[in-house]
This record gives sequence, structure tokens and C-alpha cells, in this order.
Amino acid sequence: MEQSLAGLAHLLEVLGSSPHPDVAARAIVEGPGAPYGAECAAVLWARPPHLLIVGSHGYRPEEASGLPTINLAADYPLCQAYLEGAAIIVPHDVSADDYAGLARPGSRWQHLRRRLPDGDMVSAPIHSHGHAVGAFSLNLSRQHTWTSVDIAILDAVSHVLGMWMTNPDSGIPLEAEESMVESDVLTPRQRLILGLVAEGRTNLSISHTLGISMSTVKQEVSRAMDLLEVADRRAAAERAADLGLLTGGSG
Amino acid sequence: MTMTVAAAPKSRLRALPQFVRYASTYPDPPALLRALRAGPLAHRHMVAGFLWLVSDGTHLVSIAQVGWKREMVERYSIIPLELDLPAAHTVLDDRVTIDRADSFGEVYLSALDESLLGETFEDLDAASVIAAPVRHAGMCIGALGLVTSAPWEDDEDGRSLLDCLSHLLGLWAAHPSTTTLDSQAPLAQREWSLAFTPRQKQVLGLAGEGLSNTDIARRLVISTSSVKQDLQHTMRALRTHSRQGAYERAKDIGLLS
Repeated sequence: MEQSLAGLAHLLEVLGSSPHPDVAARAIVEGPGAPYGAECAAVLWARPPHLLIVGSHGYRPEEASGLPTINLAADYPLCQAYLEGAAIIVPHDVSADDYAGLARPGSRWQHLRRRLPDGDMVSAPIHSHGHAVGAFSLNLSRQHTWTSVDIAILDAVSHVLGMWMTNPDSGIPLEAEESMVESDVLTPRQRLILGLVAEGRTNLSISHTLGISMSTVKQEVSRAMDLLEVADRRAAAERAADLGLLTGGSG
Repeated sequence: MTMTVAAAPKSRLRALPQFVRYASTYPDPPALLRALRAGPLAHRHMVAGFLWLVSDGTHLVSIAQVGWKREMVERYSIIPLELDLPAAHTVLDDRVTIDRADSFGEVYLSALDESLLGETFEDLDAASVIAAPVRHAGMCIGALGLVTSAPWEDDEDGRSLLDCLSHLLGLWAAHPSTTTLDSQAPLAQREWSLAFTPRQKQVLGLAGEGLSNTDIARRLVISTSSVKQDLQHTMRALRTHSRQGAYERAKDIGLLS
């Protein structure tokens, strides 16, 4: 029990410094998740009708595929957790049958199953201000007998993540642009900005060029980084260029 | 088949998750402090507490208190960071301080007001005085002051609980949904209430003008030993060894205005 308390303290410490969402996901694995044998975690933010991934830790690329946006109507534990506002724990044998089975060839569950054959899958809502604002998933390397105390800890993690996620310091925009949800790629402005980033321009110089504030530039770059799942701006520009998103964007 | 488990049984551990859940509904500061006393700190025998935020970078301003008498609230609702008090150290050094109540009274507060503090601490049955930083975004933005009726067990569990509270209160306080900003009256409209008696101020003011003890005694029609005693009180409270130093310090923090 002391171990769990220390894990929560660790998570709080990391969240208290307004980290990148990937760092938050890592803190879930290394903090409260550690006693349960957690291997990877994802933090998702709800913009109905989708859940958007904002951060993850520990997944391999093929395991993370399908995570960036999840349709809330899908038959998926993360969606259930969000909609029902309660933690959903899928025992390893059930997840093998229901989610990683033959009916879903190539799904991320099959990849995860291969790596973590005996672990439970945890999906839980993220609460703030009495509402579910997102969900997180935790993938364990071993089975666990879940007691109500364990659920209470998951609950605490839910609320702590919620406080962080709805805080302006978290960098997660409270208002989403529709285009961000509708297409899997970047908004026109994000493309434009990344084009300038690719030229090696600074945030200040970009803000002058486009006539927008520097904080908008920063926010757009960080959003683009989230969407492209990269850790720094240069990588975002490169990735966007690779995907052919920058044509016409850069001068 | 998925598995969901219902409410947890009563346990020491459960108090913290429950408190976290409550904090994430952004209750007002007094309600949060009451929940802290009834929840995670109940089995650690918290009897009274203050929650301060740093204001203007120079003062701690109380946004909530529980369990204190009105006189104490008036005295400690504002604490200049220059003052040699654990809450101020906690903010400046960003660390937890844990004192025994009796030594705390001797070291920090007797000089300010022996009788008031003695009585209040006895009323509270105080055993420990704890000050913990309130942290957000890598900064210390305030302090939590606690008084417990049982000695605080300074074990790993206790430390990580204080650590949890530091960060949780920081997240809560920095959240736009909290009412902390509303409840925090502008500093200029408040007087520093951790104050000396009017007589002590008078004596200190005259001493600052360069009057001797005898002159002050004659002017105020009191005995020289009273003058000495009053000056000694103020010097101890302001952590200086000279009357001139006490005068300047008191003037700096607006005590004599």
C-alpha cells in the first residue's frame, strides 16, 4: 500500500511541472503502474465523437497504430471507460479472445498480446470537474487480482490526470479545431507553420511573418508534434515533409 | 466479459484517492481544507491548518484555515516572507519542515505573543507543527501549515503523503476553476496582522528615533524595565540583536506605518 502511495506521489510530482503528455504517460507507467507490472500507457483526450491520443509511453509503432484517434462509437474498452466513467479491466484471456482474435486481423491488440501475453489491459476514464474529459490505458505484463483498493488508486490517477489535463499549463488545448478531428492530418495553418519550421525559422520570426502571436505558434507546433507523434519541432517538420503535407506551405 | 469493481472498503489508503477525487471538483479553499482534515490527515490527527498562497512574491496570504481561533486567524492570515517562520522558510527553501509544538512555540512564536500562543496551542492539544510547500510547475506557489494533536511520524509514508499534498494542492490552486483568486483579497487592503502590541510598536518607534530607554520610559510614563522588555520582544521576533536593526526591519515590512 505504501508502494502505491509513493507511485501516486511520483505521478503528481511529474504532473505538477506541466510535462509533455508523453512524459505524463511515462509517469503513469513508472509511478502508480509500476506495482502492477505496467509496460506501456496512453493518455487520450475526448473530443467527441473521438478520443484523441495526446501522449503515450512504451508502445512500439505497430502497437500504437490505431490509437491516434479512436471513434467513440467503436467497441473498444477505452471508449467504454470514457462513456461509462468507470475503470474497465480486461483480463488477459478475454482480451485475447475478444480483441486480439482472428476477427480483428492486424489489430494493435494482436501486437500487444504477442509482447504481453499474460497481462491485463486497463482502460479508465480521466475525470475533471465531475466530468470525464478523456481516458487512459495501461498495459500490464502480468495478471493481477484487482481489489477495490486497486480501483481506488486507478480512480485517483483518473482525477489527477484530469486536473492536469484541463489546466492551461498542460498545453492541451481546451478548444479543438474541428479540422483536427475530421482529418487525420494537420490544419492548413499547422502545415504553413511547419513549413517555416522546416526552413529553420524561430517561433518569433514565424509569428511576425504570419501576423499571429508567438504563443499561437508554439501551441500549433506542439499540437502538430502531438498529432505526428514526434518529440521535437524539427522531427515534426521532417515528418510532415515525408508525408507530403508541406507542399505549398513553405515559400 | 469485462470487470468492474465497486466502491473500495474503508482503509487508510482510500482516504487519499477520495480526497484527490474531491479536489478535482474544485471545491472552495475552506472546503478543501476541511476535507483534508476529515480525510487523508484524519488518522494523523490534524486539528488545525492554514493554506497560504504567495502574493506579490513577498507575502503569504491565507486563502483558507480550519480549526483556529479568530485571533490566530487574524494574526496569521498574512505572513511576510522575510519573517523567520517555518511557513516562510518552506516557501523560500521549497521543503517540508516538521517541528514539535513546544519547541515551535519557544523558537518561533514566544517572542511575538506568549500568552496567546500558549493558550491556543494548549487548547488545540498540539503536538506537531508541519509546514509543506504547495508546488506547481516546478515552483513553490504557497504553503500548507498543519497542527496535529499526535506527534507526526516522519516516516516514508508520511513524507510521500506530504509530497502528494504539495503537488495536488498546487494543481488545484493553479487551476482556473478554483476560487482561490476570488478569495484572496488584494494585499494592499490588508494589514499585516502578525503584529506587536500597540505599546511595543510605540516603544520601537521611539527607539528608532534614537531615544534612550530612560527617555522612552519617561515619555510613556512606564518603567525602564518595561521598555527593555518590550524592546527585547521585538528584537527577538524580528531576529535582530540591535534596537536599530529591529526598528528598520519593522519599518521595512510596514509594521510601524
